Amino acid sequence: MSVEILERLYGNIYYLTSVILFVIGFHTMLTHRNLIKKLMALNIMDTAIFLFFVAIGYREGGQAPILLPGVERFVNPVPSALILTGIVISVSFTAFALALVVLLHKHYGTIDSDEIIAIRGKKYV
Amino acid sequence: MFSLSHAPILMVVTLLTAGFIVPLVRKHLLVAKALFLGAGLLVTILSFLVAGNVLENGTMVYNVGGWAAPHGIVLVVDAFAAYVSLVISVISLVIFWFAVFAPREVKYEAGYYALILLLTAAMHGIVMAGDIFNLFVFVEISSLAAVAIIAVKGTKESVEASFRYLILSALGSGGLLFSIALLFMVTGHLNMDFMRQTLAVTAGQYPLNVLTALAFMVVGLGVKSALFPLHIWLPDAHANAPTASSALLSGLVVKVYIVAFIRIAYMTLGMELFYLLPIRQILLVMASLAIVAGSVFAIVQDNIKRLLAFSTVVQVGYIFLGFSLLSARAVEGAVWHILIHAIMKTLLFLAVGVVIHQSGYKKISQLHGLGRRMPLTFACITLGALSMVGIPGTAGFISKLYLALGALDAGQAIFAGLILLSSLLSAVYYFPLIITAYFGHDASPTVSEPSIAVQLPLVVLSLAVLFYGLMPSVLLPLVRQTAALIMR
Amino acid sequence: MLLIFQTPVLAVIIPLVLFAVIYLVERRSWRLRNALAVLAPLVSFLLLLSNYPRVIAGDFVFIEFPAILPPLGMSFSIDYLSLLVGLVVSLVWFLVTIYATEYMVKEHAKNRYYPFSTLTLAGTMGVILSGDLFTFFLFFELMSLSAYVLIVHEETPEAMRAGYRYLVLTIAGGLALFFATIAVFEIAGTVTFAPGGFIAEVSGLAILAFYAFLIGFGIKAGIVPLHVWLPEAHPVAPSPASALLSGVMLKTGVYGLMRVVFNVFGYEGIREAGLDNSMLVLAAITIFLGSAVAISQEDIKRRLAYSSVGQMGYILLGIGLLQERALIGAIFHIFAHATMKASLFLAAGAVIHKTGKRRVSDWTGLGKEMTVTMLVFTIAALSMIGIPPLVGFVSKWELALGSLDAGNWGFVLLLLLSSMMNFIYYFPLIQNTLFGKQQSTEGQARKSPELPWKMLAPMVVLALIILLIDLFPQNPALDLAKRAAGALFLGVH
Repeated sequence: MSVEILERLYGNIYYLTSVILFVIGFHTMLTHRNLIKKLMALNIMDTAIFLFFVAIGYREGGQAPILLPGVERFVNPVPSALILTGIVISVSFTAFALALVVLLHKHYGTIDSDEIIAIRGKKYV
Repeated sequence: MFSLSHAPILMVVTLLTAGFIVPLVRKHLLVAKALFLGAGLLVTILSFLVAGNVLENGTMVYNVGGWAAPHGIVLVVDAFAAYVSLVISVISLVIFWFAVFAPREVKYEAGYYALILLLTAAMHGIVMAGDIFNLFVFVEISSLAAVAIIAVKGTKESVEASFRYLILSALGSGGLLFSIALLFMVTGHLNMDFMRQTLAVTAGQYPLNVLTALAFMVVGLGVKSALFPLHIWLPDAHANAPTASSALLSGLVVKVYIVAFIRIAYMTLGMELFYLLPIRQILLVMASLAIVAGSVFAIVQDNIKRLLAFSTVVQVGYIFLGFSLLSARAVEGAVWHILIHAIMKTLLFLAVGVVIHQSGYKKISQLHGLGRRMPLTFACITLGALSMVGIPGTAGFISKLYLALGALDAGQAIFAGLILLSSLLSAVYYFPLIITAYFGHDASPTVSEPSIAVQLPLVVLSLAVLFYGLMPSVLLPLVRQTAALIMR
Repeated sequence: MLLIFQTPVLAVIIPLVLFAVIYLVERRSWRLRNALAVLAPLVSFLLLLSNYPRVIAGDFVFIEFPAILPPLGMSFSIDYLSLLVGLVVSLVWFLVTIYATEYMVKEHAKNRYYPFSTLTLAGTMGVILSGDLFTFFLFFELMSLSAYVLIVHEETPEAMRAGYRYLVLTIAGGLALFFATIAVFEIAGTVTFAPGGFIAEVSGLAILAFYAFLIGFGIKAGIVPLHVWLPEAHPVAPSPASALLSGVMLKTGVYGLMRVVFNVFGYEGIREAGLDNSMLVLAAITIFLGSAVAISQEDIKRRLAYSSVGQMGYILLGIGLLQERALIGAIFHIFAHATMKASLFLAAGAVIHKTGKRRVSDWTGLGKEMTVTMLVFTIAALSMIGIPPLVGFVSKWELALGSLDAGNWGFVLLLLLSSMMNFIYYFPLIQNTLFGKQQSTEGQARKSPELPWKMLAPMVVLALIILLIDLFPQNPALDLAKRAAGALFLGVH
């Protein structure tokens, strides 16, 4: 029984890992007040989803889908191609967010989200 | 003869290209402005042509690069897409005009225009995308640009608000991408049409996948479209943005994500799912909460822009309510409301922006007698507010009428009551704005009307409010077709 | 295309257009402004009058615009009832506006008063000439909202407070009407008024719709307990506006209720569903409380406002009895109360305009100084008490007979009791003003004429109508009321 569960888990190891990564990211995101750490958590979450997506297309022993003699098992190239785009998006998000963090630091003198809210709260309408 | 078949891609490409060129010519601001407005105008003309063509000949499918689905990327312009992209192009053209002629609020004007152009391009892309991954990409572009056009104001508050928006938006994107992955797992397709066909067969075999995908999508797009209680970023973001951005965000951007949601949840996953899962009930509850809670929050606001932002939360609730009531008239009402709310909220944000700039007053309680100093602007605000409340003769009444009729059609009189209650509440928070402006002691005599070029968008939108309030039959065929398509 | 130029549409559109015209010209010439404002109700009146022979011959007017605001569409009609009410409304409006051109001279923001008075007229005419519930609702909203501007005209804190209360309640009432209208549409698939009604079975949603109607119209007509805005709002408005609000606009509420009871639900359906009882109970409470509270009011305009509440109860009673006789009384009372209450408010306004005395106890001996005004006031007040042959008597007589027809003695007693109370709050006032000694002597030095003719003439005309119309060999208003009631009952007794 338990062996069966373990086997099933192992069979889905990529999915499992991605879910664990996602939860780690989500947890970090919610619990940490440092904006940089929040961004890192966001990236971990993104990576988890990328992993999940790529894993969909993976086939045991598959090769790159280039038509060469002798190559018969391909991995599905579509998810990998998509994730390339996804990574680009993620990078630009992060870059932009970091730029905002710099701006925030300039305005508030801190990158601690609670402190920022406290500072802003004073003159808040 | 110019072939209309390329028009859909041309709309996106024009805006994108203009978006890249405008910052390059930033030294010649006049050229940049002309380019900015020209692109908007061209796209508006194209969207009219496309809408006419769709009404006449039915859905247009454009194969990008000549590769047909399922392998190629396609743009699908059905009645829904044609309608929404018409709304986007017209309203955004008005906002473009305002952004060009209104007093400067941002430091890097050309960069600001470029961001707006990118945002508009992405919105058109979301609406017309035929495959789900391109939809995602456009959603990302629009999210980034939307955050950016808040941050460009550069004030403390706007940077903070935009950062919060960015984080939540990124979370939403993650949810959306995850649900796309799950759907891809089940169907092996990205093209929404093929997905739909495959799902009809395989959804029964993998119910858990589809359910999880749906849940993630409701959260992902719910955050972006500010569906209560995922709206927490919206009031700060919309209230602290530059005027043109506020109008764009509240009037259009929020709604485009609703369109994306309808595209995936209704038109790809299919209606059958709605009867199997309690998703409809969940949406109804969330929409009702949005309407009630949003109104209550709006009532206690004194800051005008925050009031308008909370009102957007309410109106998003309206649209979701209409879509989840699932009767023909309710869906028509929701489709109407996409246009009508875009018109009136844009009008209100622009007009209020003008008032704030001319007078420096940001609070309702400061507006005493300002209606006499700025008669035209306040006439426009009055019209917009009346329309928001849903007074007959204004456009807001039409969507209220259809939504309430639709609720009765669906046998849910209680939601008709809810819509009416919310009208009353909106009267409670909008009328003080008008009353304080017109009655009471006079404002300082230094306040004056802005230039005619700035007032032009306000007048145009006010006329639109009146026009659709009295003559809604003009757009009715397109709305009907759209609703029929969604209810298919 | 030509449909637009039909009478009922024109009677609505012309004031609507004049609203815009007045708004545009008023800064150039105040004479033109006043002339146009007076012209608007006159045109409506004449247009309706020109249809009098046609309608009397039984040829009703009905015009439809299905393309406007689908799926419900708009329509206009003239039948006996709308002809009578329309004539009364436009006539009173015309007289009051003449009065206003003089009265408002002392007031500020005249440029706001006249356009909005005209706009309110357009809304009121639209309400009365509408051929279906939806059109009714649209104009009802227009009227209610533009009346807000008239109410808060003085812009004093009390006026703003009263106005806000009015606004919230009127919007709530409008939403109740809106709900009821679309509910009727949902049930029957149509909202066009039809003789005998068109709702086949009164149950469930229909009952809900009826109560929504009752709330919506009750708020407008000042039916207790929905009257809370009325005694606040009517006194704070300038006197001509009070006359319009009390004399004319309240009537649209009961007029709508008549349409709903007889032309939407059908009186048989109402009776079967037992909905008439709720109307009767409300009517009894309204008559009693309205009259009783009026006694204790010191401010003349508040006293008149509470009196209006009581009088609306009469009309509600006439509707709720579902008897032709009683309905004749109710319809005639629309006419009677419009003329009486308008003259009372105009007379009170004249006193306030001239002397600034709002408290009834200050009116002692006023009859010597303002003889004509006080005579008008006396005639109207006697009519309110119900002295024959004044108009107030006629409607009470018919109402009492209707109660007897319905076999309900209680209401006859209630009518008598209410007349007593009317007597209590009007008669001492009349006595004081006409025969009391004026305490102060400072006013005697004034030898100037009592009032400008523009203020006197309208009051005198109204008083003459009250005095003489029942002395005609055939009372034209009563005749129309009888025909209207007959049409609403389809000749069934």
